[in-house]
Amino acid sequence: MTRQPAYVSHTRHRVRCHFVPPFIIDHLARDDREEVQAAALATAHQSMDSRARRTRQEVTIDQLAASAGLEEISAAPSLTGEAAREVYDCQNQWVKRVELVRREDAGPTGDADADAAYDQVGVTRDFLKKELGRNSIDNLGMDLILNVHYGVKYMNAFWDGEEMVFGDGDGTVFVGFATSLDVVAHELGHGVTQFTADLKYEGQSGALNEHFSDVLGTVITQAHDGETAETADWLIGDEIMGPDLRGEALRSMRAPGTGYDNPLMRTDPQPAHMTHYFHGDADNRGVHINSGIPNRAFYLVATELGDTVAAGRLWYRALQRLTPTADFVTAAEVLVSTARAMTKEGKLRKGAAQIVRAAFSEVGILHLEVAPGIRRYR
Amino acid sequence: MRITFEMSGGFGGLFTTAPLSYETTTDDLPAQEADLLRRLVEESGLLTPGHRPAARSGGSARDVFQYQVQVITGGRTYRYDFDDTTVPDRARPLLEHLTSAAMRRRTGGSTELGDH
Repeated sequence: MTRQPAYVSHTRHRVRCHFVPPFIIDHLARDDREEVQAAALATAHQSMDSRARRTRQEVTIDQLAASAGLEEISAAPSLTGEAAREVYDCQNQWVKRVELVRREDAGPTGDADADAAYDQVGVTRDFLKKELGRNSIDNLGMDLILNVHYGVKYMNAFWDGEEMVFGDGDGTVFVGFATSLDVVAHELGHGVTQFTADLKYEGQSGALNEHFSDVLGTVITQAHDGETAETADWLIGDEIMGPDLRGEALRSMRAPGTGYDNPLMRTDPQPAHMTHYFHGDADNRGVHINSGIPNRAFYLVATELGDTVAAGRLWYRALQRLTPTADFVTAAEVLVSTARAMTKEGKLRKGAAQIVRAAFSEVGILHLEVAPGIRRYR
Repeated sequence: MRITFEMSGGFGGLFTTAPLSYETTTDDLPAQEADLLRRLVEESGLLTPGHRPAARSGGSARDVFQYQVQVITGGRTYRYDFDDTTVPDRARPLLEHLTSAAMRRRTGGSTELGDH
């Protein structure tokens, strides 16, 4: 990384971390005044502090403000990085960063996975910048580290808190994790969430964490492929299915629960409505399962708006107003109020807030009477 | 020696409601396979007294697989839970072996998965 660490003094914080109860911070984080929001978020978000602990860097109030998007406290150029990509070939070892095979601006390596991952992260990074005004994962230009060919027939991809890691799959059942844009964007999305709401990875906040990654994955894929809400397949992970599972997908945002049904994977357990909420302990209390419910809400909003990218912008802005323990109802309420603000600013069409409300009512998160005359969703 | 294994989670949240699992007893295996399994367990270090790998990662890992390995031998039960970021290096060969066995069991050794 190219940023210079600097010392932070707690006396310069506007809000003292340990003396304001969390419920007050949560309330302030939803305040309409930007400076109040930013102060509350600087307190509530574990991400900057935990990142400092992990990387042993210290941050300044300027960096905190810059990452919250407050431009009047401008970050000096030396505080921001260049969002440079680095692709490492793990050579089928269970070790990260074995061999650096491609730096930013270097030419193709000839390794399909390394080159595809490089390209897909570039697409994701450029979308964050151009459409969301976000400078890499941390909004401070942090470098993007990718590890490909990790492990032996490793059927997965993950974000470890600092880097993305991709296995090869086994070539029959699952393939090409590093080549799939929705997988790459999903993993990078976990990084974005970590540096914004830092949603706790369990229960409803964890399902929201998964949900926001699927949203980023689908928004970027649709934009890149020139699809619309109407024409998109709304599938996550359809590209990583090997020859024996072609046609299946890991998740469907349009119809949660229909992603797959076969002897290996069994049946997609995702619910599409709160009445089928998964209450078990597995998967950190269902983070990959219950994400289906807000996923469907996103599909409904994007379709009703007729603009997936606009819905994505709304979701991104709302993400920055959430705190680590946000639950489904809180997220829905924040999305509605964010939609109202963006409509007022002319960034969303009139009626957007009502569309969001109706979508979250449709999936059982908000309990509203649907007024006569409002079209039922398909 | 009896060994049970379960894995779930990952990017796809796969195997969550139906974990990928494998269990066997060395008595039930052909001699060569039983020896291999015993050797992998021995080399994994999981039965070393006082050995206790971290159960789960610090909290920043997302979409990792979770594993549970239980070994019953010499009248004692050893149980370990870890994820992709906390697997002890020495235990990797054992984990690869168990994962392959679990996959073979799930697919019935067949690669024809389209219909059922």
